[in-house]
Formats: sequence, structure tokens, C-alpha cells
Amino acid sequence: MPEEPQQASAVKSPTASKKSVGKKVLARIHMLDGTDMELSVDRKCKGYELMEQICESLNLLEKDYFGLTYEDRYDKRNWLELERGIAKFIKDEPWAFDFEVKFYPPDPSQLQEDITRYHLCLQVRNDILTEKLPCSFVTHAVLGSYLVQSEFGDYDPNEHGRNYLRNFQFAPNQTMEMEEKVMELHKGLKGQTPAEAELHYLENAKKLAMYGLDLHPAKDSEGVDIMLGVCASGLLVYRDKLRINRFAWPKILKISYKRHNFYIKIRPGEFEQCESTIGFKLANHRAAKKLWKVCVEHHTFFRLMTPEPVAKSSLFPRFGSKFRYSGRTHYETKKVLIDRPAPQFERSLSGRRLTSRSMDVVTTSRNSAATAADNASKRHTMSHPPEHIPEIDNLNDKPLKDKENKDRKLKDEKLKEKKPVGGVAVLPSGIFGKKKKDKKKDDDEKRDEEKEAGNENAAFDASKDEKTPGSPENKKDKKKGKKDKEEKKEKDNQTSTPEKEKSTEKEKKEKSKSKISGLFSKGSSPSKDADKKGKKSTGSSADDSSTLESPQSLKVSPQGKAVLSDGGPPEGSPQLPGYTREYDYEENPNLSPTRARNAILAHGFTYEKDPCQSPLALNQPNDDAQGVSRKAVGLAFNYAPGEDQKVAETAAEKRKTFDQKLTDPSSLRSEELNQQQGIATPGFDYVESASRKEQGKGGSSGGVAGKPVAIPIPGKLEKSQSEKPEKSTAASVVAALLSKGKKGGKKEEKDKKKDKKKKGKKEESEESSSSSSSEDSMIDQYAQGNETVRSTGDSVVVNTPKIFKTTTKQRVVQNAEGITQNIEEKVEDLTPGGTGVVTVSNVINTADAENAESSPHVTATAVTTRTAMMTEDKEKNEKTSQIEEKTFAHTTTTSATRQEQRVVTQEVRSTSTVLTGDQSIYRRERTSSGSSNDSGTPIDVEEGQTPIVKTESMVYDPDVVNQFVPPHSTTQVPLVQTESRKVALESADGNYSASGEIISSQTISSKTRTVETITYKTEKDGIVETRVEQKITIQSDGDPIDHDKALAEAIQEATAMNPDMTVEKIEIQQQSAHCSVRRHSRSQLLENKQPFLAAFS
Amino acid sequence: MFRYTHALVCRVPVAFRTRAEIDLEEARRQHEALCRLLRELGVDVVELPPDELHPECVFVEDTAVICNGVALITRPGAPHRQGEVDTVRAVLKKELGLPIVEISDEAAKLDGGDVLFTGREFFVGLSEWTNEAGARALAASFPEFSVTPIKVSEPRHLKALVSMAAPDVLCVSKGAASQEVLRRIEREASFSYQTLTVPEDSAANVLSVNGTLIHRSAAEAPETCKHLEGKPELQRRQLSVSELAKVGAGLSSCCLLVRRTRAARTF
Repeated sequence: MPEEPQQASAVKSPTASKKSVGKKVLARIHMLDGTDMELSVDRKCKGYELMEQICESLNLLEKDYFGLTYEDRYDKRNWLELERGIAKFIKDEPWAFDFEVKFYPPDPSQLQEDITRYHLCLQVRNDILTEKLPCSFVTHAVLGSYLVQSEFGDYDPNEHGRNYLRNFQFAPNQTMEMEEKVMELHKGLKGQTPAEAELHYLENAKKLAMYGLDLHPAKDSEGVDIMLGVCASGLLVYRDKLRINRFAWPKILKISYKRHNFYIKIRPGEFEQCESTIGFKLANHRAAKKLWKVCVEHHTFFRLMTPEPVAKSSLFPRFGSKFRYSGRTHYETKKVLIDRPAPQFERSLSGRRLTSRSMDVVTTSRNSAATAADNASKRHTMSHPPEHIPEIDNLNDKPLKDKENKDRKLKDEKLKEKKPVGGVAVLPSGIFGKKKKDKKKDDDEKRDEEKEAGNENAAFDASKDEKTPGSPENKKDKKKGKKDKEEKKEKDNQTSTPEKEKSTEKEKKEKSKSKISGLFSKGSSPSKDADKKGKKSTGSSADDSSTLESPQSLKVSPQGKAVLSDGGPPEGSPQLPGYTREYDYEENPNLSPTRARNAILAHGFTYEKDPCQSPLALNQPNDDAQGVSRKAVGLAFNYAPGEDQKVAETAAEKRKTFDQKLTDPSSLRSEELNQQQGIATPGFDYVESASRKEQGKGGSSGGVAGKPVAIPIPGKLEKSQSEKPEKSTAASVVAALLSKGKKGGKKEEKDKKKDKKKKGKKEESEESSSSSSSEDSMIDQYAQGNETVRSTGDSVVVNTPKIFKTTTKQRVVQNAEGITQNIEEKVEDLTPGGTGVVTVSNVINTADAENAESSPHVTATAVTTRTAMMTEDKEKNEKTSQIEEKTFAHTTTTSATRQEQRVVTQEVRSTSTVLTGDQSIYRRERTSSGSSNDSGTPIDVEEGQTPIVKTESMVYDPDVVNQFVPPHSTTQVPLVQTESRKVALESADGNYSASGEIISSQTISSKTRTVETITYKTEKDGIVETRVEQKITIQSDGDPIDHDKALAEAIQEATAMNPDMTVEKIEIQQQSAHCSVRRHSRSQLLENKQPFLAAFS
Repeated sequence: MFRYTHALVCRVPVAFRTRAEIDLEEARRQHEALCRLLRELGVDVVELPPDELHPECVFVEDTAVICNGVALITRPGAPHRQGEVDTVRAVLKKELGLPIVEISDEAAKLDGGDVLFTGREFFVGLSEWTNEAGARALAASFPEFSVTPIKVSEPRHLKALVSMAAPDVLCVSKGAASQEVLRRIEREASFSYQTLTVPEDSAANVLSVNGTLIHRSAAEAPETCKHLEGKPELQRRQLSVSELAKVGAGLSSCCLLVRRTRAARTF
């Protein structure tokens, strides 16, 4: 295909020229867009060299997701092993390959470049067209519309007409109806750039059940046809179209194959009492090996931070495959930042070229001729990659490789000192190779035994170690591999690294964890991931192995430390994080509420049982099976192919193993399981066995099972509030006060509406239930307070203006002695010529603080002044009442380290005019600065301490005019001039005013979060607008929490709760450790023209 | 998720009395209350006249599975109920304009009450009324979602044991059956869900409609109500469905919720 531009580039390409010695071979690569690329490559070249050339031609830097497939006489589609010479696999010339996506990123939005996404789009489109990725009508249409948008841009009726989709292939069995739907949807995508459209395409595609699933036909032990699907998150088992089982990577301990069987060993956990092995039959040995390889690769790519080094050949003859994935892992590839301007590239999503998929040269060339323009531009992008690109490539690539090597070296070194951080604990093969030579087999066997025991220990918790070295399980393992005793000893020592080292490790681990998080979000977006974390804090999560999260793990941050707190015996626990860490499954640490679980984490994942390889299960330090066993945990990532005869466990043998296990009294449960699950056991029914396993689990770990799984819904957290940290106390006090003020407004309104005639003033001393420091009850108190306060605002109707002024001062002090609440209410009759009566009531409540020692000193003061004026104009038969309410709330929190102050002011003014009883003009103005005057200004420290005052004062309501220094005087009502959002809307001419009615206001607080929700309703021209304002305060008591994340979660939650609403404004204010957000959502609904006024006339 | 524009309900026929000791008037009142509440929540309620030939016609949930703008007409597991789908099919097609998918497999049994859609994936209870062929049909109809069969050992519908209380929140009861099913779900789920555990078995069936959680009233599930009161962030409403629940699963079984959008939604 001489006219293909790629060829030229290929010949010239630097990589090719470097190795110009050997004989050249023509490689024809069928690209994702349907074109063919021809490259002339060295016959001896390795897969990755070809891959590099291809990606260079494509200008693709994120190449780790891609691979090459070829066809041989056994199999239509094989992945080319990039580390090996191509000539090994392909005999026929020219070499023919398909360039494809090998690892489908679970979250395509995390790809760094649009060009990568474009190629992923092409792949997904091909998967859809070939029905690998089945969709229903609606999904085809949605996805199709994005492709069309990307290819054609905005819909233009003149240009596009009705038939523009005729040649556009977006679905198998495309119908006219479908095209119409796509057209309709296309119209709605106006303005999306191709890159955006592609991103949306992928965001939808990634949610498809079969996205990125590599399916392998197999049979279960009963001979029933199933499909095994390998994907980023694990292994899925399908029967017909039903997904009957899911084995997430963390659940799998070991994968192996032997002859035409493929086995997975399942980690004991919630559902399985002990390790169980499940076997599947594949068509032949090749198929089994292929599946095994795909699993190895996917596991390494998506699950590990760095690839496991390939074992170097040793003097011992090797059996089985030493195949390992050696490319970059997903983690690594995401870590390598690409720093270049977004490359230009020509898109061709339309599938117009798909007709040439057959690699028929003629067709292709015809096609390319037809799209000469395309090619012209393509020549630019493809055949002559800008010169800087290779450099960048090199920069990005070479250093990385170096780095990898370095990393490995480093790791080796580290291994000597301590366990590798954040990586898979894998012993460098080099060491093994050397040491192996010296080793005798018995040694190895022993070691295996020990290892097994150790692993077992790790998995089952030392107390439960049911497997003695003599058990069949171990026998099996004895045969397995060679191990280095010295090595282990060394490691033993290492494992007992001092606490300090561990903690640093921990830190590192955490870091790495946070980096990697989202990786395995199982097709979910990062936000979901965050979500998940949020959920974790509230309890049961169905994630992978964490299926039944016990509520205990509530406060567990995603760190090992948290795990510890969950009730493992203290002596054992401190050790655990040390090695669990190495096994960097990011979800692990969150999971285990029990120590047993914790231990499990440490258990490694193996790609089975080649005797030569088991030494790779490196970190098995235990010398003596028992005592040290925990250290043994070593993350054995043992990819062992099952070919080894020594390993030779036939299914029968396995069964025997199981049977013997059964005799072990402690594993009675497992008996059942094995009978169902064992490879050779007939009657293997997934659903059934699942249930049985559950029974087993239920029986054994009744403790866990018995716990209410309840948790949930954000906000339930309130229950845990008694332990709430001081700081949040302060915050929520403020919130409570705030809500008070607002509620006040509402109530007032109601009162007014209800009885226009003013009642006599009413005074109620507040009765507050004495409560502990629980914010809940505080809020309650305040809520109660509100009401009472409210009613005091009403005044008696008289001819002359009657004026009552009510001043309520609430003061809450929390200190070491407890909580004291002091409510002072003063009512003054200011009516001219009136009595001038001043009534003062004073209520003091005291409650003991629950955790007095740790409580900081909190002072909260709220002063509400309410002036009610009522004028009756008899001539006009009109009554006007005006109520003005000013609330000033001030909170000071003083703890050892800092002082915080919050000030909230609110002003409510309402006027109502009543005409002749029937008609009323209701006018109200409500000015509320809410918490807008929040300020973190430091004030004098009464205690004389010099606390570190972190201040950040930010006025986030632009309207707020002035900040003020809170007066400490109690009698004087601070006159706060605040101008802020007015809920009241007034029309320009002033004739008509729409008022905002507070429908509800609510404050919910939990340990880390206070959510205050105020709902207003305003009406204008018959349009009722509901405005919801939510103020979210994230608080922490010094525990490190990720505010951004917490906030993001909170916002997300809030949005999820009110999907109808649109977020109008998000204001963020950070204050010391506080972070508060106001979220305004607005939804409009049209209601029947029913002017607000009419409602009350 | 769980936003709906329309609901299909079927009024209580006199023959409903034949199914259990039922106070017909009360059942009708309860049914009306449900309709009223749905309307309050912004749902257009399409009421079908009572079908005296099918005493259980009120449980429309079993007759169809509606998701992603497509309606799968089921093959109810109870032979005497299979006739119910005809009316529902006609209404979904003509009134609501939904594309209809049928189950061709004669051996398939599928009750909508056994189909739990979490918003991201399906769980289908293998129960007295639903078999694997039915589950397969469901999977074939909604290929974009994974469909995981869940064995239900009690003679109850899956949704009587587990239902969706809010997006990504599973509502289960403390009862053994419910907990067992929950464990199975969690074990096989692709996504993680939160759990809302209510004390009463009968309260595990809830409805989440347009942001509001509808649960059984204080009279019927006092503990649950108390429990939920501790969650002020939940928008909730309560309904009495004691009479209806004597036969069906409870709240969810009496309505088929539909979300009709002009444009196909991106799921």
C-alpha cells in the first residue's frame, strides 16, 4: 500500500534505523480507524519496538493501554508479547497485526490526552459494531450521537439534511429509526467539541456491563458453558447473559492453569471460611494458558503499582511459563505526566473506513483516495511526527525505564533494610537466581511448608491456624518451589523494623494509595470513588471483599491505622500494617474490621504454583512456621503456570486435598464449601454455592454477621456525636443559632398570617432539656428557644404605635465543668406613653459535658432584639405592624491551640398592613446576613494563653458592608448594618412586592459536617420560586480530614438529594480548619397564577 | 436516578378479596392514598380500571420492568396472572409511548417484583415466580447492565426483602431472609451500596420517588418510623398499605414507575 503515508515514516523512523543490521520485514498493522499502517521492521525486533514505532506514528504517548494482536493457526486473536521477538510468534510475512486497546481504562476521563481517548473511542465503537459490547437501542442512539457530534460538529439542518447518517456506522444492525434518534440527539449536543463528545461517549460506554471485558469461553466443573471475563476489576463469570459470579482481584489469591484447566484460589473472607479453589475447563491447553496470561496482565496492570520482575533463568530447568507482564502498570502510566501541547490529529469516527477492515489493500486505497483531504492532513500528523515528539517520548519514556530500573534496584536495597514501600513485595529475581543455585530441594520444601503455614496464619489469624504442616494443603505446596532460607531470615529481621520506619512506610503508603485511588473504581468515576470513601465512613459497603463493612469502621480513614483501631488485639496489630502495606491494594486497609481480615490483607496473590517460582513468593520470612508466621505474609505474587509436573495436582488430587481438609474439625464449614466449590465436585452451582458459603460464613463469624449492617445515609452519623470534637461543637452551635434566627422569621410570618390581630405578649421562659454536649440536643434546645422567642415578638394592637422591644440573650458556655446555658430575656414596652414595663427573665441551664477534659472552652452568645411596632390608623381602617428582628450570634471557641470566633448577624424586618380586615398588604423585608459576617478574627484571649490563631477572614457575601467588632456588652443590641441577599423581591415601582417565605429550615450536624438547609419560597407574577440554600460546614477537630474531599462529598450528596435543583452558587469559606460552603440551588416551578397576596386575603 | 414522570397503577378489584382476608374499602383507600402521594411528588398517575378477572391486577409492578426508556413485558410466574400483562403492555405502548420488549422464551418466568434495579445494575431474585430463563431474558433486554441472579429462599419477592431507599442505598430489614439476600447482593455487586436497615421485615419494601422515600406508616412499622426519624436528612412520607401488603410485597408492588424523557437519557 504505497500510498499509505505511514510507511514512509516507518522506514525513516529512528528506531528502525538504529537496528538496520538485520533483515527487514514488512509489518502491516490494521489500525482502529480501519486503515492499515505498514512498517518495515527488523526481523529480530521485539514487540515493544514495533509498538513504539506505531505509537510514534500515531503521535500517541499513552501507549500502555494498547497492544497488538495477531492470528495464528490455532487462534484468531492472540496478544503479542511485547518483550519477545516477534518472529517467534509469526511466521508468515508480511506480519499482520491489529492495533487494539488491551487495557480499557475504567475511567477514560483520567486519560491525559484527547488523542488517547480518540483511539479508545475507536476501539469501543469497534467493540459495539462487532457486538462485543452489546447495547440496547437507546444506548446505541446516545453513543451514536456523540460520535456524530465528534465527527460532524454541531447539527446543521442545511448542511446535514436527513440523510447525513447514511454512511455513518455506529451500531450493528443500524436502522432508520435509530438514525433518526441519533439525529434528534445530535441536535441537542450543540457546542460540544470533538474531544468533549468523545469524552461523553466514553463516559457512557464505560458504564456498560461488558466494557473492557475480555471474554473466554469455558465450562464450569459441571460442564455447563460459561464465559469468563477478565477486566480491570477482576474476573467475571457469565452464564448465558447472567453474571453469576464476580471475583474482584483482591478476592483472588492465586490463578493457575494446568492442561486445559484454569484455577482460581479464593481468599477466605466474608463468604468463604477458608481458601477455596475453583476450576474451569477451557477448550484446550492453549486457551487455558491464554486466559491465565490475560489475567496476569490485567492483574498486574490494574492492580499493582509496578510490574513483577520476570524471573531470570536459573540453572535449574524451568517448567512452565515465566510469562509476566512487564510493561508499565496503569499506576505508572498515569503517573507519567505528559507535557506537550495537545497534538493535532485527524478524526475519523464515522466508520466510513470500516468497509476496509478486511485489510483488503485495494479497498483501503480506494478509501484513502476518496478521502484524499484526510490523508493530506494525516500525512502531517502521522508520517512526519513533529520532531520534538520523539524527544518528548524519549524524555518521558527513557527516564521512566531508567527509573523503573532504579526503582527495582532501590527496591532490592530496600528489601534488605525493610519492606518495599507501596509496591508489590516481590523479591528481585536476580537474587533468587543466584541463591537458588545453592539451595537444596528439601530446604525449599521446608520453606514451602513454612510459607504455607505462614500464609495460612496470615489469612486466618494466628489463633485460627488450622493447617498444620502435614496437611494436604501443605503437601501440595511442598512440591512447589524452592526457597531461600537465608533470605527469609533476613526478611524476618526486616519485618520487625522499628515502629518509626513503619510509620514512614505508612505515610508513603497512604500517599501512594491516594494516588492510586480511583484506579479500581470499577468503572466508576473518581467522584464515585470519593463517594465510596464517604460511604465507608458510614458503614457497610459492598465493595469487593469489604462486602459487609461493620459499622465499627465508621471513622476509619483509609489508612492502616484505622484498621488497627478496629479491634484487633493490640499486640498483633502493630505488626500488621508493616507488611500489609506492601500489598498495595488500596481498598484493603479500609476493609477489615477484624484482625483476621487484617491479616488476610497481607496475603498475597499468586499466579500459581510453579515450583521454580514459588521462591518468588518472597517475603516469606518465617523461619519457623509458627511464631514468625505473621511476617511471612509476604505478598506472594506468584505467577506460576501450572505446567509443572511436579506441581501436578490433578483435579482428583485437589479433591483429595479438600477431603482431607474436611477432616480437619476446625474447617467443618469448609467442607461444605469445598464440596460445592471444589473443582471436581459435581453440582457446582454458583448461586447455590454462594448461598451455602454465606451460611458457612454466617455460622462461623456470627459476630460480624449479627451486627446490624445498618448505617447509611449520611446524617445518621449524628448518633456518634457524643464523641464529637469540640470544634464541631462550636460550629454547630453557630449553626443552631443561625437556624434559630431564620426559623424565627418563619414563625413570625406564620403568626402574622394566622392572626392579624396581635395577641398580648407572651413570655415563656425557655425550658431546655438539660442535655449533654450533644449538638443534637443543643439544636433542639435552640429550636425550642426559637419558638418561644418568636412569640414574644407579637405585640398588642393599640391606636398609637405600640412598640415592644424584646431582647433575648442566649449564652452557652461549654467548658471543663460542662455546659451552661443562660437565657436572658428582656421585654421592654417602648410604646410612647406606655407603661415602660421591663420584664426580665433569666433561665440558666447547666449540663455536664461528657468529655470534659478535652472540651475546649466554647462561648456562644446569641442576642436577638425584636422590636414590634403596631400602628392602627382608624381613618383608613388600616393596621400596620412592623417587626424588626435582629439577631446577633457570636461564638468563641478556645482550645489549647487556637481560638476561633464566629459572628453571625441577621436582620429581619417585616411590615404588614391590614386594610379593613379583608385586604392586607403584606410587606416584609428580610435582611439576613446569615453567617455572612463570619469572621475568624482573633480576639483577646481571655485565658492569657497565646494560642495559635489561624485566621482567615473572608467575607463571602459581597454585599456585606462591614465587619464589626463584636461588642461584649449584653444589654446593648449591636446595631449591625448589613446589607445582603434579600429574600424579598420588590418590583421597581414599589407597588408590588413579592415576599420570600421561609418554608422550612433545618440544621443537621454530624461529626464532620453541619448542614443547614433553608427553603424560601418567593413568588412573583405568579411564578413561585423555591430557593433552597444550604450551608455546609465541614469541621474537624484536628483529625486530619480531607476538607476538599469531604466538601465534595457533601456537595455531591446534597446534589444527589435534590437532583431537580440547579446549583446556583457555591461559596467556599475556609476558616482555620473549617470549611464552609453555601450552596444555593434553585428550582423554579410554575404554579397556577395565584398571587401571593391573594392567598391571605 | 429514581426520578419518575409517570406511574401506572391498577385499581383494586372486588376480586381482590378472594386473595386474603381483606377489607376492600380500606384497601381501596390505601391505594388511593398511594396515588395521591405519587401525584404530590410530581408523578403523573395513570390508573387502570380494576380487572375482576385478575384479582392481583393491582400489583402492576410484576408485569413489566421499565428501565432506560424501554419496557420489558414480563411473564409472571403465577400462571393465573399472565393475563395481566396485556393491559399493561397496551398502556405502556400507547399511553406512554415506550418501546416494548417481549420475552420470547416460553419457559421463562419473571415477576417484576423480583427485579431490583439499583441504578447501575440489576439483581434478579430467583424465587417462586422467577427462574433463570426469566433472568436471562432480563439480561438480554438490558444488555448494558449486568444482571446478577440472587437466590431467594423464602417464598417472597426479592423486592420484599431488599429495595432501593435512595440512589445507591439499599433498604433491608433486620430479618434473616433480608440479611441473607443482602449478603448475596453485596458479594456479587459491581458497585458498592449503602444500607438502610429497618427493624421490621415488612418495612424493607420502600419506594424512592423523586427524592422522597416512601415507607410504611407508623401504625404498621413503628420501629422503622422511629428509626427513620433519626435521619432528618431523608425526605420521607409514610403510607399505610396494610391491606394491600397482605398479598403483595407492599409499597413498590402497586405501581410501575416510568421516567419518560423527551430525549433518551444517558444512563
